[in-house]
Amino acid sequence: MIDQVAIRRSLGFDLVPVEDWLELEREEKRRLLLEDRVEFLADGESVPVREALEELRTSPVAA
Amino acid sequence: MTLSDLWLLIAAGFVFLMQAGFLCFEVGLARRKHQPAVALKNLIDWAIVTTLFLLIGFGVMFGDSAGGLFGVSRFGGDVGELPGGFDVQGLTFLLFQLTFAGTAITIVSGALVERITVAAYAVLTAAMAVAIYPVIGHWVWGGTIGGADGWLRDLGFHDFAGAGVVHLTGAAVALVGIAAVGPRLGRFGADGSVRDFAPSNTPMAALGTVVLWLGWWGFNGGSAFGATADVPLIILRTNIAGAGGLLAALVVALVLGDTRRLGVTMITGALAGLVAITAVADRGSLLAAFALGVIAGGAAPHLGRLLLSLKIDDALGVVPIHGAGAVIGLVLGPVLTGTGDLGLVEAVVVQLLGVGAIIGWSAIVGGALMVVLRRTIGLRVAPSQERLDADDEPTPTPVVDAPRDRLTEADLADLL
Repeated sequence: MIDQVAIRRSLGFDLVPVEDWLELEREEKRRLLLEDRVEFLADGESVPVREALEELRTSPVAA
Repeated sequence: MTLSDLWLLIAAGFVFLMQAGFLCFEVGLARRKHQPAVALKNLIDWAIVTTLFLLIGFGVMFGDSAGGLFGVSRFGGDVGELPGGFDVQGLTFLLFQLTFAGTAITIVSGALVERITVAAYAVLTAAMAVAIYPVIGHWVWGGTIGGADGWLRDLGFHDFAGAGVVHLTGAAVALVGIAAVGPRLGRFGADGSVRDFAPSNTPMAALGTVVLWLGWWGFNGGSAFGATADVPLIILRTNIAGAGGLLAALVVALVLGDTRRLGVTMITGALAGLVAITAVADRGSLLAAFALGVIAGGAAPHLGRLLLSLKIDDALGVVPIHGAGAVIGLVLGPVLTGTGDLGLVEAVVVQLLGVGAIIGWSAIVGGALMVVLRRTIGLRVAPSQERLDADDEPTPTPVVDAPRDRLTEADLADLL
């Protein structure tokens, strides 16, 4: 289950809980994803982006 | 050059040696993949501190006081003459203080190892060198070499060699740093479990502890600011407090049957005892010093476990060692070793006020900076850099990056 999202900033990453990611504006999420600046993590392990987005779209957290 | 100059120069060398102690301690307790980065961060912070504290920080700490809050002169290494009563040159004093600043700042790195970027750590180090450590130093030690006293010193706050100024400041910044950076990946399971991140080299950490312990002789012994008759007793108090801390940590662990990572527990206890006595190494009997070490060393490992239960990933136990050790030394120290000119209650109140002020300033400035860094340059290394391979070996650097599954606008229309 996705529990953290690493967002790349200029010189490092900002690690945020998945709830914070979900609260971002759709446009902001779209921009970060298109710029390849997002890594989804489940228990510290990377999850492929498509798989992660599918999971988040249907997860109870997103609801 | 006087004999006191010579002693203070030697003591400064001992304190600088603590950089090597911290390096060994941190490298030994970190996981193997992160050892090189941990070592390099320790080198980098010394280079930054050397530059910024010498040019700016010393003046903020020991310059003429602006209302007891910060200094406004003696910048750029222009120390000038020290007042009568000092048997050392100004530049000797500056060098000694520089090694103290380096100690305060390198304490922070231990809490944030394995995940903070070099860039973020460098900025934090710079802020520590000019705006956090020297301001607190001015409150407590401002006026030592002339001018009006810092406001805490004026109230009678006693911190002989920097349990508060050096260790508590470092621990408080470390704590807000931990909150901003977050735990290491995989440290806490989704089911509430805490995963064991084993030290890579406990003997190396033990060697670092011995080097730190030796450095403490200079740290506290040098704080007499001269080759005085008090120095041997100051060093003996320091030594026995460290011993008391180690033995108490060991005995408590054995009595409770908590023998997992006993080496780390003993190291934690010894260092907490050394931190505690730093507040009052100029006072009291050897027995009182031992008792203070016992209290700090007995308590510190358990604070570490409490932090873990709160999902606070203090990687190398900075808060229990330097935070709890300092608070115990500053508050209980005067109770055990004497309160100078103040009554007992007044002394404890002033000490508590000082502890609160040190934590407050460190947390506010350090916390604000970390929030800004988090939102701008980012605080953490890439998850792939942070994670360990299954065999705990360093991750090979890819020659050619694997192609990533890039998303298109059309993909996102379905996925978001």
